[in-house]
Amino acid sequence: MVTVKIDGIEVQVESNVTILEAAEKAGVHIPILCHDKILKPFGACRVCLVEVKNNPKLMTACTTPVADGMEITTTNEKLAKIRKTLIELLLINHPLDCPVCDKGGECTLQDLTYEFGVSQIRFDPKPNDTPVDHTNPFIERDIDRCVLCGRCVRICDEVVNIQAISFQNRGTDTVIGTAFNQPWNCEFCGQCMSVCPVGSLNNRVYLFKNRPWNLEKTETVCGFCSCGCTILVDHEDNEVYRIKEEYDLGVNKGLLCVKGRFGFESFNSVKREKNPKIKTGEEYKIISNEEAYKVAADKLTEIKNKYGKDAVAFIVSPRITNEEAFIVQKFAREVIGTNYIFSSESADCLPEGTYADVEASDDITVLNIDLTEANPILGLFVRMTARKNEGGLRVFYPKYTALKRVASEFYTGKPSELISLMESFVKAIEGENNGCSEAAAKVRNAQKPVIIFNPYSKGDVTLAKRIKKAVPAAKLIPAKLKNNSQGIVDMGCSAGVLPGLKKTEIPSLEELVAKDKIKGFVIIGENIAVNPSYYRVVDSIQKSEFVLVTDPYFTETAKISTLYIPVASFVEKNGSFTNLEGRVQRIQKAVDKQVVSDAKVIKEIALLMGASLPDDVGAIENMIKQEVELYKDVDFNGGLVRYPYIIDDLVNTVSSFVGNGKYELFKGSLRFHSGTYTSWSPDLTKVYNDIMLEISEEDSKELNVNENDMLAVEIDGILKKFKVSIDKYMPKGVVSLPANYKGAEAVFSKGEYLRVNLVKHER
Amino acid sequence: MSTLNDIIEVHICMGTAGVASGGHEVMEAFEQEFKKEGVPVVLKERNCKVKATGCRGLCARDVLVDIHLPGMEPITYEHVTPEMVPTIVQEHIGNGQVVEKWAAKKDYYDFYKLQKRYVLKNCGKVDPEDIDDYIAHGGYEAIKKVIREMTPEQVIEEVKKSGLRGRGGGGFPTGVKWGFCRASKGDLKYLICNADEGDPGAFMDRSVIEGNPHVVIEGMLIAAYAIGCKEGYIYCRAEYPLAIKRVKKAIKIAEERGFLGKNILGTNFEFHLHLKEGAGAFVCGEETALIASIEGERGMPRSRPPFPAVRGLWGKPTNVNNVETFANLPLIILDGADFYASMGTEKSKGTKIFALSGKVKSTGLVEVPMGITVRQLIFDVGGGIPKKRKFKAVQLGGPSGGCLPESLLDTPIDYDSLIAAGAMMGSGGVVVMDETNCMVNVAQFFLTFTQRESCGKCIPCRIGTKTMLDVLNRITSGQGREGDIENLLDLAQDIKTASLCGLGQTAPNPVITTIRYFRHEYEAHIRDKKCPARECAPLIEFVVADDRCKKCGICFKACPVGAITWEKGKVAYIDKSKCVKCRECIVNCPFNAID
Repeated sequence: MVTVKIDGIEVQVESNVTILEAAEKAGVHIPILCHDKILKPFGACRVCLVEVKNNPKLMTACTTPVADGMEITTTNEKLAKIRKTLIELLLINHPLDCPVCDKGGECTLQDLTYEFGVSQIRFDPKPNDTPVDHTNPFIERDIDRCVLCGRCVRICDEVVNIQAISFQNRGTDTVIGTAFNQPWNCEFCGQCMSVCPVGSLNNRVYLFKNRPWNLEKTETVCGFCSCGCTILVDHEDNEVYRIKEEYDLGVNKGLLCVKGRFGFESFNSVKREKNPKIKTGEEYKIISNEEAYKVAADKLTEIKNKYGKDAVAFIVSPRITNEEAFIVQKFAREVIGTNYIFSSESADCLPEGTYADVEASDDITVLNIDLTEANPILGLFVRMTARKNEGGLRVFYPKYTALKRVASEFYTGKPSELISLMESFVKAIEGENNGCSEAAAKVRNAQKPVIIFNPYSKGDVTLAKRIKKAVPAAKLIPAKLKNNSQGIVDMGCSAGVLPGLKKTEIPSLEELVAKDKIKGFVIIGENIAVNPSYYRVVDSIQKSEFVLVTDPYFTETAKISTLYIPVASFVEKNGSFTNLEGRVQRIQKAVDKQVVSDAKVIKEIALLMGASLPDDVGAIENMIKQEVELYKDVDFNGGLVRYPYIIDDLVNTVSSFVGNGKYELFKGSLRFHSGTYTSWSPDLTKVYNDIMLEISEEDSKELNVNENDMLAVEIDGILKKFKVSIDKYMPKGVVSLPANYKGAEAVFSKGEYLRVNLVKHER
Repeated sequence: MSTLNDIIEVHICMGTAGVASGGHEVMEAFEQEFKKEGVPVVLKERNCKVKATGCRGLCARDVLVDIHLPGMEPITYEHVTPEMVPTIVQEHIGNGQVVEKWAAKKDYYDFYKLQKRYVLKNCGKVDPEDIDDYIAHGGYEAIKKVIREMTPEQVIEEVKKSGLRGRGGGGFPTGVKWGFCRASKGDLKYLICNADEGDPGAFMDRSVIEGNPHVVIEGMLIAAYAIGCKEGYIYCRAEYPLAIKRVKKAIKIAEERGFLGKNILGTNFEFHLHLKEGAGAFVCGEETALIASIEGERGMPRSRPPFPAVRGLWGKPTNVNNVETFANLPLIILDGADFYASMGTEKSKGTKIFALSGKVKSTGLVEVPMGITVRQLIFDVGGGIPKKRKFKAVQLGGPSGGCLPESLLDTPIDYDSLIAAGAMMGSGGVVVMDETNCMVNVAQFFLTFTQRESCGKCIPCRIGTKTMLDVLNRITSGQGREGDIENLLDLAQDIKTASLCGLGQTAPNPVITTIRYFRHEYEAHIRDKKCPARECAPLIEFVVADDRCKKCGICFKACPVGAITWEKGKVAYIDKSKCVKCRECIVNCPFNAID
């Protein structure tokens, strides 16, 4: 620890902090422009220059490390004059766009102009008039407003590790651009836009719609995936205008992804229903909420009386809150009396590692996931750590993904070969001497190894558990998909799981449906009609006596329901989610779209059936704390759940292949989509809304197909055609379809890995 | 007396200037001549060797050829062309008769009188592409002494004692700098030779590398041994293809002879030297930008601290020195720090190489002991101002430096005196100006350069220099405004204080010094819309002054578009409708008769 004096205030800090950090601790404000907490100091703008005693040169506070006894002056006449000149120079070339610039009101250049009192420009203004760049579907680029602070370049380099943009040319000709001025074609994560201090990079979904001083900010947690990022919902009059972030809130350090930043119009979607609908004949008739609850209560009571309590099954989506999940299962178990609660999640793979564990890790293995698409923020932490460690990242995936740029080892190949390779890898970790021994040794010898795996593949889960058994120091991170994938399991909404992860035995849904045991279905939010796991039962479900569907949107599943009740999305209710770290975080209601929450629906139906269940989030939370041992001592404001990590005798499950076609098909991802909320965002679907069959360049030549031609996939009696997309990283003989979007359910219902044939289509 | 025994040697200057003047053709002519029938008889059966050497210094007189006959003083011929060769061979080499009309005159030898060609002593004697020639002249003796007789600490002490200061412009005591890097923790340390030499008009480093590349390599070896560096880079600007060619060749042959690589001279000392070419950026002469460039990054400077001596190339301790600094080292080791310190002044030891250019008779490369005055440099070494014009100012230190007016001509040339006078030593560029140079134009020239070369990272340099340049452009085109001078000075101060690197910190210097000493010129441009030196075309009327015109007709002949009418015995007249303002008339008029 060293002691420094800043503007006369003494403060003690670690010896490796910068003057800026020390000033923050001392409560002294130093103006900055090109500095950002998540980036390495750059020292470009010179705004943070301060005087250091006995040093003839002024030093930039953001880059200069403190020394014991250093005396720093942060404001005086000399510094004030320089700051004024710096802003004056920036304003010479800056277009006078404030009235039409989205950044107005939250613009660093405006703030500094005001703070430094720049009231005149002694030199001739010379703004350019370059056309605004709209080649990027989400981010508008107005290069004339750019102040060349370099934050966008640096975040794309140091954090995202894609290096999509950089400085071009020199001196006053410097511009930020892409390589060879190609149209922007990156992940569109929007990190660059989030750090731009001026209105040079703007959110096209928000563009021109509002002004920051009109907007109310609500802090909540994003519901697009399992990362659990803290977001700030900017809203006015119950419209969501923008999603923003902040470094100091939550666990995501101000990082978000394309879905969170640009997909929010799905909540404002005009296609959302406001009233319940009941099926009459072939049509749907609008009814009131009260009528809907009555219908539901009556039908469920009827089925229960006629066929028994086990004639009603529940299918729960991993998108609902912990509180809703708890109430749903209570309703199922206590009001209906059945244990038949199903979801696409399982209790087989529990969270263990956190983002902090990833940051501290010296060896990360990513097993068989397209991590940067599935869980973008976890992917970012992995990239930052790999970059910092200059390696120590090992990835297994059939084709190269964005992690290639920072991975020290990347194993690709046909899925069947990859599975054997992963098996060898795990065997080597367990002690066998084989071709993977070198890599395995790295895992065994690492101080803090982290294993990230796909929890939806039983084979991969087994591999991960075997690694954990052999290397107890390893932390496992299951890459869960949805915002509350883990929470609903903890609350007991997974097949064979009671609240608190207690086990019970129930038959599978397919069995029950095959034996025609279920007469009524309550489907909370899950779009089963486009989910491969439910492909085989959808038809039967459609034919049952009563199907209640609650969903924010009138989905394909709603179209097979008897009764549809529209409910709130995650920005419209309170509650909590448990993310892939096992962290419980509260969500806050930001807007009201005049629809009820799932909890309210359940409460009302229960009431009509003679039971009293709360829908108040606080009350439910108390119940959870009392009845779910696992959550008893957990702080719902970001506390971690301590899962019992016991690896008992492992049943050695290996991923299997179905079919005997020529090409191996694996589950890929559709860019920017997680398939549920995102399909209702006009902005995300504008870019990608059609699933594509990805094939290799060699195969495309062999089959004589080009981009956007049609090819049919044939597997075990199914023949479905898809548009072709040629992927240069796809190995020969391998194809993929996105599993996180509608369109491929029939194909994927056949199994996890498929051997298919490809049939050319004339069209 | 010629120190070469029994072999006749013909030394031909093959630095870039020599080559550009036809050095290759002259060399071929000599070789051809020696092979011709009957010539050996004429030469009385003696051996004749034609040798390419480095820069001799007086580049204005290229192609320079030295004839070394055994037992006689070497004779220098100036402006040699292939046509002159047969005569020289026949008469001088064959008959021992110097061809007086072509031989160098007194002024050539006056050029060398005040110089002390110490660092350059072998440049011009040694064939830069022949390592054995370098060894025959004492090459690689210094590193042998260092490895066999001295410890690294002793080497650093010796360099400190010598008082050697960085020759790249910074003037930082070299021994002290080495000490920082040596003290840094870590096994892997880098040594970098800055051969980027971006100053316009500077060619000191180029001449050293082209003329005697091995002295630089040897200097780097000494530094590497002292500091503990295993890897080294010579960063040479790509605009020096001849230097690059010679350095590559020198490194290769030095490796083959065991002077570079592992187990140098049979010891544990290893040093691997690589060449990295620049890519056309002046800013990459700044050490942190240079380091970024070697790393493959964009050549933008980085904040210091941390200093390269602690964290430099790829995060490792790095020491960067200039070409000339390295070239001094073998001499310091062989002649001793005390001898070295006996040259120069109290605080600036040794000699300095300067590149003399501009309005001076003897343009070229000179090496003088520290302490001689600017006046001596320009008038005694440089031969004074040609065309009978008057001295006006001299720019020292290139675009980072400042100008000195006549009143300061007696300033001694050493680091501190020049800074006190408002200029700086810089890397050694000296541009002399006469009364036909407009000082506002001079400032504009240098600022145009620095503005174009600004990397763009920091606000004050990127936008500030452009803003200053815009004001100067207005002034020189007749649109100057009241208050411009004050604004320029004010902005200049802020740019100097706030800029990230030396480029921005020194770019305003030419403007500041020209305003300080020639403010009246600025005022004339702004208030009277006139350019007193008649260099700024928009402010020149192009009217012949009847009272000063001597009716010589030179302007009439010089005008490329025939806009001047003149008859013998009559005053010249310029037709403004035809005049394209090229200023040929003004430049050529010996009587300053055109306004």
